[in-house]
Amino acid sequence: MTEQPRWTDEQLEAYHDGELSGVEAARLAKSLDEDPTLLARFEEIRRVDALVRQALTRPIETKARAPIPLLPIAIAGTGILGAAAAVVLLLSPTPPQPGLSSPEPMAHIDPEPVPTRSRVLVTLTSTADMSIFETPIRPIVRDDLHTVVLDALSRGDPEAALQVARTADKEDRQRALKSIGLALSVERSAVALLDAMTPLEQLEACETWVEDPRFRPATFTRLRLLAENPDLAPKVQSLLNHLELQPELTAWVRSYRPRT
Amino acid sequence: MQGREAFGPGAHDWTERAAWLRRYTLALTRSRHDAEDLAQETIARVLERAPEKIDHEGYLLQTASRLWIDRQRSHARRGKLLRLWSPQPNVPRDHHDEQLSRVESVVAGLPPVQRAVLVLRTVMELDAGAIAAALEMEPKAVRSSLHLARKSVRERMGEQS
Repeated sequence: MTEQPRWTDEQLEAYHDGELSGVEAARLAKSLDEDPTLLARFEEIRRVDALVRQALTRPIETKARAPIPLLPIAIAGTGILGAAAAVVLLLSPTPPQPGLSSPEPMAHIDPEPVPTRSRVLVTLTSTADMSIFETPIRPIVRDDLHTVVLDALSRGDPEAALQVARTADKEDRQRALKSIGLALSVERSAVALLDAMTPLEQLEACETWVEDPRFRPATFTRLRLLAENPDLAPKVQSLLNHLELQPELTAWVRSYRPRT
Repeated sequence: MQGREAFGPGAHDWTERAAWLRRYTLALTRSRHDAEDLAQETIARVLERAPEKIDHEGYLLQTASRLWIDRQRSHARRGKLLRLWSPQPNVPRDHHDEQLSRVESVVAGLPPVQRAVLVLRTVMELDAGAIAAALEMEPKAVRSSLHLARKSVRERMGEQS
């Protein structure tokens, strides 16, 4: 009886990966034909590899991010920069939303649908008003008119939102005015916070805030200012080049790109 | 399109290249947001430091891997705080789906380098030499990491079944 060579898992994996030399691969193939136990080990390697591939390439379900009510409260108490950090922490990424502000569809990573009918609104009017962090974030249900209002606000055009509000009946008008007020408040807060930061911090904040449509007017206006700073100009240009690749932001970048 | 013209020669397949990079970052991070973030950061980094290599797949993978591994190490330092922001596990729908969720969870628990090696091999289908170049390791170390990663997954899956 011929003695079977003892094959390690590493060799089986190398065979599976096609990385064994020709001679070795032929010997292992022969052993697999003759040894059911070895074949079972090899099949297990293949099975787990296939599972890993499937697990890592399957579509990702849309998941809610875990709430962190205590963290922003704690750091917001540290002053204006703390409050800025709280805003950043509270801003969960908004999924791509079709609308007037994004004429081209966003490049999706996978074909999974994402919710488009809700958006969270977080406002921060002053560092003293922290009550917002202790209450659940309230989703806004959007009907057609309100969608137009929100789209106008997301383009940084409160005047257009006001025009739409004027055409609505009392209930819708009040709702629209509330949204306009919130948007202006958020923008004012953003500008105030930016003014309190160093230029480098402003650039970092802009990079984060640009993800949120409500901050875009303040953010792009600030980026244009920062581009006039000779020390920061290359970084601003680099950021703008990067942002321009995102279809949703292309128009914003082109509108606000500093003239050279 | 202005954004594409900026990349010069080879820009015609830019969209395809970005999608290819996202395939890697998505498998690595298993988070839509993190994957997009990592892909964009990778592109920005390459454009900033070596724009002539923007069409070089290996360089893109190397940059993405390095950024992600650095980020993982930084996350580990921040520990508990970051766990609050980690993706929630998928809700299993059937046995196969449950099994895939378990695999995903086991892979997520691997050390960053082992995880990157496993993704580059199983998802991106690179050989040991290409993985070694992407991660700046010796091919022998790649094979060893790959084996350890696979062994961990097999053992953990065996424990749970």
